[in-house]
Amino acid sequence: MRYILVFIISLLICVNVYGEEEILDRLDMEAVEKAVDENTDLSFKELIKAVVSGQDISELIKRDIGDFVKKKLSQSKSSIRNIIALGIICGLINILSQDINDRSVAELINITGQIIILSIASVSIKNSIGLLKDCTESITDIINSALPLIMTVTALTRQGAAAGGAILAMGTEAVAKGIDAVVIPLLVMGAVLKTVNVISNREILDRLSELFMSAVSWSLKVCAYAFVFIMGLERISGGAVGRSAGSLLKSAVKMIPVVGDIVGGAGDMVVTAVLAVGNAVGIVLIIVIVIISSIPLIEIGMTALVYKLAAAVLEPICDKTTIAVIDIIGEANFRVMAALFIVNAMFIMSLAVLMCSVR
Amino acid sequence: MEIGKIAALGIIGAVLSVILREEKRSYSMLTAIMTCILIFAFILPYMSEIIESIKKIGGGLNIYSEYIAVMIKALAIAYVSMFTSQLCRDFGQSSIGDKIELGGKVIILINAVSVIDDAAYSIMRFMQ
Repeated sequence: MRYILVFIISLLICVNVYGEEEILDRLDMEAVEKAVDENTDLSFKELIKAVVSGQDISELIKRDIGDFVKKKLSQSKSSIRNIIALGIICGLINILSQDINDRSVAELINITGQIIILSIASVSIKNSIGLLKDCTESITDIINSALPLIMTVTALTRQGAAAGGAILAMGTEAVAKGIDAVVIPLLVMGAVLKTVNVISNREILDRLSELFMSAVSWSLKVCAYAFVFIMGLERISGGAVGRSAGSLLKSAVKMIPVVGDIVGGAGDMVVTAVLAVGNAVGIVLIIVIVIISSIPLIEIGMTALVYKLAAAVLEPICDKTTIAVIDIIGEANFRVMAALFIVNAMFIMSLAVLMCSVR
Repeated sequence: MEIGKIAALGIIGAVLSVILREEKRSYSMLTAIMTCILIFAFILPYMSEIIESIKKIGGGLNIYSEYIAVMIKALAIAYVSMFTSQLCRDFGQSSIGDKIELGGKVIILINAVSVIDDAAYSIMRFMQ
């Protein structure tokens, strides 16, 4: 009997109880590390270690975003100066051309000025749309590479595979692709039609341009509703399945004779460590998405603000058509920002839901 | 005051032209043309100052300075063609005046075509 007890105790000593560091080292984070490395200058593993150990990472976020905001502010000052200078020049030339008897010549000179402003503005919208596409691709890339890791962590906590999480990630990606395929072309067409309508001074395309812009707003609303519906499905199905599977596994482990309770207890410690890592994985992914998405959001927002401010400042000087062109470009940039904001909010919320299933 | 000088020059030229029309119509035409040229030469330095101010405002717009130069050139062409066509109409030669205006429009279009071409290219790239 004594020998059996010694044997059992030596077995217990050999049972390794893993801490978070060991869990981290054993998890396969290569894919998600590579994706984060390609899209940011952060280290995914270092961030998780910092979060798990409770270090303050707010300074890291403030540094990354703060530096960018300062840089964009100085760029925005020169952009707004250029737009206002161009607007003043077009306004002066418009005033000088009013004395020309032949109105067609005067109109030709004014339209040339408006076309110059439009070509500058089209470059800014193209940049904004490019930022939206790049940001969406980066975030989709990171989420896809992180999904196996999240599933692994979820399985380790004995909650069962959160199949709803995979559906949620697929749904989010589908909505992001929908924005790319539907919303952006509608936005471009709407902005172009509205600008042509304003420059031609005939307002023959008024209703068509309004239709396109309304279609953009409604498409974004439909994307948001679709996402909320998918999130609702996840909360109904995935969470309940996870909880019941976890309880069953725990009961099975505790049935092992003699060491069942101790292994079960050690298992609880492992689960707690994995939970910390799992939650840290979710937190770090959210932080990475926030950092990736906030920079384009700030850039597009500042561009839109520059054009709106320029339109407001130039209103007393320039003619209505020039002001309307500048205002339309500001409006289009705001809509691109709204689309980007919805995509980012969906990704962040889907990660938060996945995190909640890791309990 | 500069406007006083311009007004005086204009009135003197107009009076001379009316008087000479009774005697010799061709001298009246020449007087009117000379008066217009003198007034134009008088206000030319002020127009140069306006153009310099416009260039100063657009000083930072390095990429678009050539486009602004095109617009100013177009304005100058429009003014010259307007003045000369009005002179021709004053002497009953409205058809010549119309042709001068047409010539002005064509030259403005040729100058503006480069700007419109670049802008259309930017907009087409934006649509892609």
